[in-house]
Amino acid sequence: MLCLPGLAADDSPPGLCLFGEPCVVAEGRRRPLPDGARRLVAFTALHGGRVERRHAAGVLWPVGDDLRAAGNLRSALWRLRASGVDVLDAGKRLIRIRDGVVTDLDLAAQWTAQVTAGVAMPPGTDEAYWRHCRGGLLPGWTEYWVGPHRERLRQRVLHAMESLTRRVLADGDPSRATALARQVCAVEPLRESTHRILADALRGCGRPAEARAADAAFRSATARRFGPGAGAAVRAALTET
Amino acid sequence: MEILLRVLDGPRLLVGREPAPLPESSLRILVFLVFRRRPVPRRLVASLLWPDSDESRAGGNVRSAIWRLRAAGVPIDDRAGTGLCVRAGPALALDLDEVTGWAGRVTTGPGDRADLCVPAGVDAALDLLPAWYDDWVVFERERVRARVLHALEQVSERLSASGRHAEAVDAAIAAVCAEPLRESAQRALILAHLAEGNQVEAYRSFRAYHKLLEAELGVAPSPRLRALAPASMNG
Repeated sequence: MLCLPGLAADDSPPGLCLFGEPCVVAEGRRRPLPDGARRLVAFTALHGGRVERRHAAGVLWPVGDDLRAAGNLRSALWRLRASGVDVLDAGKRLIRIRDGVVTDLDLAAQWTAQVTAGVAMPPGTDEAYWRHCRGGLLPGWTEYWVGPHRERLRQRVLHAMESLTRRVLADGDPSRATALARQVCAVEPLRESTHRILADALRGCGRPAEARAADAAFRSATARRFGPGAGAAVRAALTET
Repeated sequence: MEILLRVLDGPRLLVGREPAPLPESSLRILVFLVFRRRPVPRRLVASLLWPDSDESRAGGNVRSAIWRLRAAGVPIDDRAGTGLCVRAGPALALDLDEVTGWAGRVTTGPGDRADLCVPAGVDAALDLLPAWYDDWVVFERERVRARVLHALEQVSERLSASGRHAEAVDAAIAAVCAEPLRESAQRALILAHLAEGNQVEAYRSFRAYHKLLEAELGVAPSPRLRALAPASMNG
């Protein structure tokens, strides 16, 4: 999990990781966030790195009155400071991610924007980001305010990988494109757009039989879950050729 | 000297890229006048911004805040009879104008190709000045929010039409993140998935919205939205 370029080196700025178990990476070491403060840190990071105190307290501690919620918020901030991983800057009204703290959320967003725009990254970068992000943002968290943000990052990462695979294929490396597409399909077995790219890549390698086999696997997976109509789009794409 | 008022991050005033050391009272007056866009009588400014102070004290607060703003180089129009006025323009740039300008262009017309790119400040604009609770801020916050949400939904559709599916999905999700219960935002997201040929993703988004609506409001999505879910998956 510490493999992100920009977080791994000893002299990198302190980093906050929210893919996987939330933790802080500083001086090459990872330290977990204290239990009482994890939700506050995650909430702040997901909301652009700044939240209003009353808003955070109300959402994170909905049971009880405002006074009690504000008290819970203060104790969360205190626990964070006491644990020595102080990544939040608490003002009278706003709580912010401290200046100079890098979040993997922002790094991932930059990476996906660049890859989707067609920028070639240094070797190994794309794989490192994919390994870091494929498990999803805050996996296992059921808080309602996490879901849309997790989905946003998931779509960005998947689109970035699809752009990358298409570019690799266009650059004439169908076997690497196949490997990339297979990795994405393994994590997202029900996504038509990735399956279309995988089929193209397999045909590029001169393996039409495997393209058909991959299609059959996709069809049965979607049919099991959603009935026979679900794979229509990918089937149409496959029968074109 | 270039003067920039940043309300998407701060608020703070940058004079020639350096932050001007202003107390919050001065910033509040400045933001208030910039949002109003037309002259406001001094006495009204004083009573709206310091409702709990008596008249002479509030008037003093206004005078000292205006004095500090002038010292920082902010052009304030002060005419007897009409009142105080600050307009964002060449002499005073407002970072929010980039986002609202974009939203206006997207919602009013077919728009330029350059407007297909969603500006970076959109997320901050959807939650303007979160730590300020005054009525005049709440009103402006809602106005900006409504405009930006509409623009995101429309730009998502146009991005899909020009084959830029990744950006189309992202624009729609930005609106969903800001307002998960808003059906038009969820509809834009489902349409963006379908335009990309991702029926399963479209269905998942539909299911997630269905569950959210049931849990939060106890209602089902409208028939118009249900019609978008592929027939074999409905239910």
